[in-house]
Amino acid sequence: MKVSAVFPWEPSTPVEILRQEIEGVRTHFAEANANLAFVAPEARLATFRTLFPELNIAAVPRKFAADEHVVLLESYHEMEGYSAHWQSGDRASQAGATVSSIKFSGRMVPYKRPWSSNELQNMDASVFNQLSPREPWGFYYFPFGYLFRFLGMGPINSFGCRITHSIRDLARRDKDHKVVACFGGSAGWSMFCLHHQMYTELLQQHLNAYCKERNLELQFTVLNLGQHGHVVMNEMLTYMNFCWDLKPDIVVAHDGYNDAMYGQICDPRMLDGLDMIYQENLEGWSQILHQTADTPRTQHSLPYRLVNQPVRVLKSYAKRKRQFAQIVRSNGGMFIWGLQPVASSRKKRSPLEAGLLRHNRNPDHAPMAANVEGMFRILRQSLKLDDDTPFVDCDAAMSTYRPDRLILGDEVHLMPEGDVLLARLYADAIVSAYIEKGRWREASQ
Amino acid sequence: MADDARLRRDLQGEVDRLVAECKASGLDNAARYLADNRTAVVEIAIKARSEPKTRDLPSPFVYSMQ
Amino acid sequence: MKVLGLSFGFHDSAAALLIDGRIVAAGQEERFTRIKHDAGFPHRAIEFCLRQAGISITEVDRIVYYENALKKFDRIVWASTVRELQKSTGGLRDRALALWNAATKPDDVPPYLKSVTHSWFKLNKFDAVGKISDELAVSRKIVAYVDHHDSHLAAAFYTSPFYQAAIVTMDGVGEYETAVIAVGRGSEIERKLAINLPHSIGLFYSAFTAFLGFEVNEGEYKVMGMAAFGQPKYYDEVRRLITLRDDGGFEIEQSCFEFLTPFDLPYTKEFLRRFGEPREPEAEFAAQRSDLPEDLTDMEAARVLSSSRHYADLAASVQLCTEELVLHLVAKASAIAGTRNVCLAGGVALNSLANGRLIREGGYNLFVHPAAGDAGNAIGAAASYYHRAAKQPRMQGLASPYLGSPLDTAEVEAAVATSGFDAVRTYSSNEALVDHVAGLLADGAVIGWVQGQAEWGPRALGARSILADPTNPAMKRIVNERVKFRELFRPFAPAVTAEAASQYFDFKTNVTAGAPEYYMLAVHPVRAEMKGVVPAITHADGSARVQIVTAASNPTFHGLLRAFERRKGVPILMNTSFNLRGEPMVDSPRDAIRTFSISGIDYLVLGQTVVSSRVEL
Repeated sequence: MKVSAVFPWEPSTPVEILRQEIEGVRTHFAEANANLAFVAPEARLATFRTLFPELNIAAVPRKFAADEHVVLLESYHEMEGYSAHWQSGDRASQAGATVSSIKFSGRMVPYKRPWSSNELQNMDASVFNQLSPREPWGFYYFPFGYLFRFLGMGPINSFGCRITHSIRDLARRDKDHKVVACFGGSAGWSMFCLHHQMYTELLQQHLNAYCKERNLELQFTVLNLGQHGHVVMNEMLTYMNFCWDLKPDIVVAHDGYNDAMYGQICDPRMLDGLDMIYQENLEGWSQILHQTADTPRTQHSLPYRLVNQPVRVLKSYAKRKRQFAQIVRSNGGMFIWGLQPVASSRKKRSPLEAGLLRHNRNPDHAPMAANVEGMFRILRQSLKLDDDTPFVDCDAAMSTYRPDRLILGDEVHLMPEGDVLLARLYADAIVSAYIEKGRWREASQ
Repeated sequence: MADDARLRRDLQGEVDRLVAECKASGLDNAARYLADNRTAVVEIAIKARSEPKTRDLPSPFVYSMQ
Repeated sequence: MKVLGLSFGFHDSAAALLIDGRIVAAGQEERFTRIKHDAGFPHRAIEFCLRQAGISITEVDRIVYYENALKKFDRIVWASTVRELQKSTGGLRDRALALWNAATKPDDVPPYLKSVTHSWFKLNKFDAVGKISDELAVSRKIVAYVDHHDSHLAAAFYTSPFYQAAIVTMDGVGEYETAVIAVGRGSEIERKLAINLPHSIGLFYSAFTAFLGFEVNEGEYKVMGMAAFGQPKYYDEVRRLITLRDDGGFEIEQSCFEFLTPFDLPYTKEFLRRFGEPREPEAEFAAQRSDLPEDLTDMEAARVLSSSRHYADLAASVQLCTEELVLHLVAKASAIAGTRNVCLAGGVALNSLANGRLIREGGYNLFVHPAAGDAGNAIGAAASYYHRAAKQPRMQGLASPYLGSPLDTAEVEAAVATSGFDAVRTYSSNEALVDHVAGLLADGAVIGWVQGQAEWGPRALGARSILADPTNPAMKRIVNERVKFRELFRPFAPAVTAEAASQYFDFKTNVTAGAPEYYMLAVHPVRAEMKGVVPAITHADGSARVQIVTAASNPTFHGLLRAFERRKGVPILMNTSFNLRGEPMVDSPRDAIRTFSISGIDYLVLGQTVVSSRVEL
């Protein structure tokens, strides 16, 4: 199959973004053994050839072929945001080619055409998938939480997790085969990273490399059980549903933001009485299911009203996370308490990162987001954990890390270089607390 | 459609009242602008009044913090 | 007679209730909605005023809006016409004129005017009377309006302690007017001179505020703060833009400014040609190398220091020229009125450096309405109507700036109960409370202090304050870094007991109650020998924006100052507003707890309850 990746008209798209888009093209077509060609508008050839001398960039052809797959690299302009390369895309569509565009995160989506059946993954994988709209992204009803489907970033399983392994097979693994199960929200899902760029993939590589260098008879598999919107209670439900038999040797709970944000706007009666933080938008599901749209819910309309105090939210979050840790330990695992990074903790950033933050920030989140940095500060000052529970403060680490590099793509989602740091942080924690302390020997029974 | 026609009529009336009030108060600049550009002003007003006053919460189908 | 005054629609919505000549309540909407500078209809401020008075809206005799909406729109049309004609020549000029005849498409209307028309229809700004009538379900017959600067004049004079005074109001622009000189005597105000757009002190200052990288109508204080780090090297260039007239008026040269149709920036290319590149918002500012991170290269540090000096010099130049303008206006007003009593209102009256000079150099008996900006026009509108339309006898002057939400004990208890904080102690008496809190302050704690009714106006005066030890040279950096996250060049202000003020500050301190120093609206020099004693509140130029506290004006706060004095020998506290950057001052116990929670404040005092920031998770 011939694949033509088309560079944008605007020469101002930063090279870091173009690199990620190129990586996206390579990744999406890797298995198809595609014949990949890079083309650019005539007027921009010189510019892009200078930036990417290794790519052998040709001029955009006058005609595209009907059996071709044309992929438009999205441009990014500091002032105007993103736009796909419309002219080439339209010409290619008219010629009958399959046309897609690649976003700054590497996500590939159809360009002016419906998603094909190949692209719509898992639509019939379970009744809850079948009952859901056949859409490429969205939250769908699932009786034990919800599933979130987000296509275009690589393989996902029927519950929306970026897992290609069979969990059932992993449950029958050898005693020297260790499983690390990582939980979190969409930042943990690594929303702006391609599959091989996820911190979980890199973590797996680090741990296996460490063992190989030291001739340790250990093998690690790292699973990403992150899901958009997850708070700690969702993580526990996910663990109960999918990980009980699996008995992960290590659980990483990489979270904080969702609990901090949702906690401030959810029903105080759920928080104060029951320490339940949930996605406030789930109240919308209740209204849909029970046709109670006229019944008031916690938030009436935008803007959000903050109804719960930050420290009260922290207490519930910490309590639930301790509960999660207890569940994990009772099932034989080591629990790592991760605190995810947020942009507001990062005081210095590159102009590119600042620009992306400006474009991608959701202004409706601002009232809650304004409090998160302070909440995380209280958490790190006040949290008392036992020695068996490593605390990995990714927020503190990220706050001063490489201000010249593109680390964050928005308030909370990391770009690939950010996931590189995350992987390093968790690898160091696991090496120190699990491997070097010999805990892997205790668990191998 | 009936709502659109009613909105247009209401706003035409409102603009005419404003013109009268401005003239009575000696506010010639405003009176002249509203009267002489009545058609355009009414179109601008229709667009303005058609915008929703409150913003709905996002659908639970498409939304999360992260 | 019950008169409710309202300001809303443009800046700083507010409501104020006057009953038989006495200000019963006044509140700014932003404090309730937590939206800074909230300009929306002041529902919550109105509810507060009525609740405070124990009445319902049906018992209000008159509701008065603070400006003439249609006249304002008339000015906007006039300004757009002038601007369009200035932009066009020849055939284009004819076309511009033709635009005023039968534009059928919205896009034929000039962009600024189209945008304003859209906004006015969307928010129903044309008919303020109708809007008030609809929102409050009252008859149009009880709703009135007064002109913008008449509201300011009334706010300035009728709340003052003077029977007779010169009155000067100065702001960006009302309907057409930007400044007015008047004479007040008893219940009468007689206008003497008015300046119209485009000549505006407020817009002049705001243009430089924007150029220096700050937000207009918010960052003007920062220009004053930055000015102290500079020298007025650009005085001549800036002064050239201003012509002072013999009649007390002034003109601003317009080639550098866009005051008529401010769609984007308030300054022009000519401005940039004369004054160079604008300062980037949030650009680093440093007065000395030690203000900068150690790992910064020498070249980069030199660049930052040079750039900081340049902009500080410009700020100092603008400030000096503005002070001269204000002194010029006030001198003429005083001469016309034949008295040294002077009342000020309008946003420019918040320029505390100018106020300090009026007091020290001009020798004026100055009164500045504490909410001198548009929020204060809620009181002004009510007062103007009360005296001029309703012909009532002269109302009582402002007895206290504490007109806002009271502190309710039950509310405190409920807020603390759901706060998540566990280390809480309630004291049985104010004496025990202030003694304990003074000890905490003396030990270096930063305290959030919430007492009694909230302040009216932008200054925290010991009701919704953050307090700290001014004798600690590190305290300015501590409060900035841990709590306020403000630019380093922003100074912190002192609160001092009235009886000790003259020891520390160089101005005539036997001031009457209600003088600007009671409302922290005048800047004065710190005495040379005291600068080292209270370094945290001494600004770079040796000055401080002083608040005088008496046992009568604020007994609990005065008690705290005395208790601190017993420990540290200094009856002064650093007093900054209780809010984080970007949010309004806290109002309710819930607001205070939220801000306290995520700040670096060590203790929160709500009435007689002290909450420690220590948390166990």
